[in-house]
This record gives sequence, C-alpha cells and structure tokens, in this order.
Amino acid sequence: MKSNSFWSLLINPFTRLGGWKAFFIGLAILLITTAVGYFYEVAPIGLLYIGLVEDPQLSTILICQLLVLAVFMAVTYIVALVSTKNVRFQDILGVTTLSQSPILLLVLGTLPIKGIVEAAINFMKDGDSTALNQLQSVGSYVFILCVAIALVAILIWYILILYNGFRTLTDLKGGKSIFIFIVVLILCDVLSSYLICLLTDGTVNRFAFL
Amino acid sequence: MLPCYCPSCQAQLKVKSLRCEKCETEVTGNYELPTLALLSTEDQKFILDFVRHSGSLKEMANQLNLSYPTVRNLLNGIIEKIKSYEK
Repeated sequence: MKSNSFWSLLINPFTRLGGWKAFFIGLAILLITTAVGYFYEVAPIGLLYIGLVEDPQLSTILICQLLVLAVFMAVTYIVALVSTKNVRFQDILGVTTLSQSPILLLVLGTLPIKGIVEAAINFMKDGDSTALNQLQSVGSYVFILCVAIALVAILIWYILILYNGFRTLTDLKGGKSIFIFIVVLILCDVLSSYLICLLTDGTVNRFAFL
Repeated sequence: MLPCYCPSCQAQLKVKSLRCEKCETEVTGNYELPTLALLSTEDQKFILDFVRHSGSLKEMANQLNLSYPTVRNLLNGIIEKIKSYEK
C-alpha cells in the first residue's frame, strides 16, 4: 500500500502538493537545475528540449529556465480560466513550477553523452571527424543506447508530470484533457523555443540532445 | 446504504412507503429521493465534512491530506453530479 502511494506520488505529486509549498519546492529544484546547467553548459531550449549553450552566463541559463516555465504557466492559466473559473493563482504558480522539476534529471542525464554531442556538432560544422571516429566502438554504441533509453524514460515521466499538473489545474477529464494537453504542449514548446532564441541572441545551440 | 437505483434496470428508485416503528403507522405514496441521497457514500461524507469545516476548502485539504486544487476538483465533480440529478 505504501509502495503504491509512493509511485502514485511520483507520477502525480499534485494530489498532495499545491500552492506555495509546491512553488518553493519547485523553485529550489529550478535553481539547482540552473546551477548544474551553468556548470555543464546545458539548458532547456524549449519545453521538451535540452541543448548546449556556448560559454553561458548564469543569466542565460536562468532566462531559458524561466521562459520555459513562464510560457507553460501562462498557457495553462488561460486554459484553467476557461475550463474552471475558481482557480487560484498560487496553485498555477506552484503546480507549474513543480512540474518542471524533471528537467534537472534531463540535464544530468545528458551529461554522459555531452562529449559525443559536441563531437557530432564539430563534425557538422567543420567536417572534423577526429573526435567522432574515436568514439566509434561497440562499447560506446551500447553506452549511448543505454543513456538514450534512460533519457526517454525520464522524458516520458516529465510529460506525465506536466499532464497531471495540467489536469489538476484545469479540471479537464478524459479524451478532451489529453487532446487539449497535446495542443498546449506543442504550443508551449514552439513558443518557448522561439522566445529563447530571440532573447538569448542565438547563443543557445540549436543542436538539441532531446 | 440506501438503495437508489433499480438492481434490475438501473432506473432511479422512488420511495413507496415509510413506517413509524413506534406505532406501526405506514405512510404510502410516490416520493422522490432527496438529491443528496443519490450521491455515493464517499460524496455524502465529503459534503458533511465540507459543511463541518464551514465550507473551507483549505481546511478540507488539510484534513484529507490532499492539495487545494485536488479538493476543489472533487467538489466540482460533486457539483456536476448534483446538476445532472436535478435535470
């Protein structure tokens, strides 16, 4: 019973957490993600994308994080206002901020293959295949495959958390909630990617991990 | 729990007779069940707790160890059910 409760909380923490409590937990994780991203030059470049940032400033990583959050928060708020009229702003703030937490794991998960991605970028930019050739072994292929599987699992978990947060805030049910969520997901991803590109003057690398 | 639906065709049941246990007088007729009686036991308990907490969703959330929006969604669900019964 306790185990079931743990798993349901992992997939949908919003049955227990909401409002300011969720906001402060989410904010703490967001700041940790920013610090890790700054240290390893990795940042979210859209709602569902993690990318490289060349020689970043801390503010650049923070802008990326906050833009992704702000876009998802704004779109969810609009949908919630239409679908259920009695939504509190602190719940929107808390649930959307906490729903971004898996980005920390996505950022950490990309670190083992960062060298490979950099080698691939160099090859695409300058045709320099030295680094890429060094990585071509059976062992590295298996390693890349394992990391890719782990990243896809984290990404699915992240989308589930986003969906459960969205569902909790908008009180939408069934097929309607899934359809609207997919539209919101695509809209937020495109909008946040565009705004990040615009506000960081293209310093964020468009070659994404995910 | 009070049966509200026909076990054979699932139609809503009505009250045919009520009996006084003291003098054994029986009142017969065709009475509608009250709307609240049509709700599930969990929903009725939720409403009773809600009234006991003076309609404070925040206190309900604390008591049930659930988040505010989850409790609000539970209440919205009950409101929808009541509206459908009243149609």
